[in-house]
Amino acid sequence: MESKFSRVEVVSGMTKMADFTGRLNSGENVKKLIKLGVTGVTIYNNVMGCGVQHGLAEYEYELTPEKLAMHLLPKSVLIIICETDKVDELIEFLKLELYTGHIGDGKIFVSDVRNIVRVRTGEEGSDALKESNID
Amino acid sequence: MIKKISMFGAVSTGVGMLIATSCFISSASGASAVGTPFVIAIIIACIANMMAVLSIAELNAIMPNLTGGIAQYTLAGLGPLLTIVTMVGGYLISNVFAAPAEGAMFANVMGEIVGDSVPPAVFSVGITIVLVIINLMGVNMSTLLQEIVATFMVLSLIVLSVVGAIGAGTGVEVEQPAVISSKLSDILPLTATAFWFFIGAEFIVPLGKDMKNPKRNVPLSMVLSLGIMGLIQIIMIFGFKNYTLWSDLGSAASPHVLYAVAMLGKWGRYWMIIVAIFAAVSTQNSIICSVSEICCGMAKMNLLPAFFQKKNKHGAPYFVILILGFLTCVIEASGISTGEQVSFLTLTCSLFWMLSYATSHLNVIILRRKMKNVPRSFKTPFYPVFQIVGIALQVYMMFNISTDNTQRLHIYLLCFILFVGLFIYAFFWVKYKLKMPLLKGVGVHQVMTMESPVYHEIKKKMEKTSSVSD
Repeated sequence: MESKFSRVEVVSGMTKMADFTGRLNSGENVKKLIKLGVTGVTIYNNVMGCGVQHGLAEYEYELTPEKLAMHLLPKSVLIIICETDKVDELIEFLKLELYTGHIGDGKIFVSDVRNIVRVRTGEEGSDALKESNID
Repeated sequence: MIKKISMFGAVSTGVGMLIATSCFISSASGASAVGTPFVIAIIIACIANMMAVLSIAELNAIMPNLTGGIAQYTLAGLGPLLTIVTMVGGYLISNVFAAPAEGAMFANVMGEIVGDSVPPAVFSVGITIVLVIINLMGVNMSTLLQEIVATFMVLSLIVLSVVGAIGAGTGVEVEQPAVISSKLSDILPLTATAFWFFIGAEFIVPLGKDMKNPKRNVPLSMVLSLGIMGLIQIIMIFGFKNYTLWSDLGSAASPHVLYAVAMLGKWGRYWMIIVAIFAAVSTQNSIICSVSEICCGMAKMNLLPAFFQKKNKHGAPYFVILILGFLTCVIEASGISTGEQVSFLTLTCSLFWMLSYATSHLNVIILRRKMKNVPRSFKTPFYPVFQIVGIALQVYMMFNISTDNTQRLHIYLLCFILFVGLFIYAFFWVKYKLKMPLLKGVGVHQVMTMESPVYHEIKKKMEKTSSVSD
């Protein structure tokens, strides 16, 4: 059975993610996220990692793709939990926001979420994502 | 914090880029041939170019903030051979024809002031030399001047066209039929003449990185600039009808001065002379600036020899500026001054430009197939209708580049010779210098990487190392 909720994780360079989160200060982007049912975001900054280019600079990778060394670079991870039927729209939004055309724009991972629990009220599922009914 | 360019700023810059004094030769030539129905040709050319800029906006969305513009889009879409042929032709050679056309217009206006005592070539060559020196001293000197001139020019043209069209001038209105020919077979081929009004809107694209909401404003400001320019030209045709005889308009070397004098007397003459001098100087100057930038961008991508990006201590790419200045002076010194000669230059330039617009449509089609999932912040609506219709319109205009058969043959012959030369250069350059497949599109990320000067430094070092070890 398909899960009702999905976890969307974006791993990208810190500068790119900072640009993205900077744009979240504009009402327009927040409106789009709310429309997609996104009620919150979580970001891990300064996590270390590399992708298929093994942390090489773009020009370096183009010229020496066979170079065998892994350079871990500081990255940011953005986590968003949303309803599964809104995932495709959310991914399109994130793709447009993060795209520069350069290597290192990042990757988006989507996985199922079995349940969500709000600790303070004990609400579960979609209730835990919305404003609490109990307050 | 740098102030972002607003929508108004982008549109006024766009209209400023589109306006050139040689436009008056095109409008006079078209209007004198068929009368007011020339507006149909203007509308079609405007729509054709709106389609082209929409395609360019989509390509910019895939590869944002690149210096070489259409050249880099074509490199990703059609590969290096066609990029060199269409872009060196489309932008570099066409501008080599556009610059003397503006120089000739400047010389004609100066001739209006000083009379026939000094040959026109003295003025056109003189102004080119001055502008070359200014550009060699660094392009920033003229940025503010360009903006002032563009605003003055746009406002002047709006006032002059509206006053003429509503018959509010102080001069005597002429009695003449509004329509000389209403046959579509006479009107439609003039779209190629009207095309000249609408080239250059794509120069808004590089401003995108300094614009507010560039995803929306870049395409919108390009389309609005073209629309405003079209409207000004349409109103101007009705102004011509009220104040200048069609036959006089067609034969005038400075139709704009003729119109202004007929409408506003000596004050109109002074006003138009100031407008024309500033505009001719500004347009020729911006041609020198933009062509040298494009050459640098193409040299950076290895599409032109490296010496094209050599800069002097003022940061000016002196080699390109000197070459362009020399070629412009040579054409100007040949003594072009009549409307027909200027028209030959603008139409030849248009043909190359049409080719580059058709290429942009083709690039969109190729990249939509090749990279269909790449996110685009702007997508041309109704794909592929605008692309197919756009290519058809550009090709139609290329086939009807001039209504005069002899002139058309001369343009084709000149273009044929230049294209053969370009093909030979491009073939050997790509095959033996770049060692790349001739017709295979280069990956978008690779095109973007090639922007970085470090890429070429490392590549050069690697080539040196491998040649030493061999």
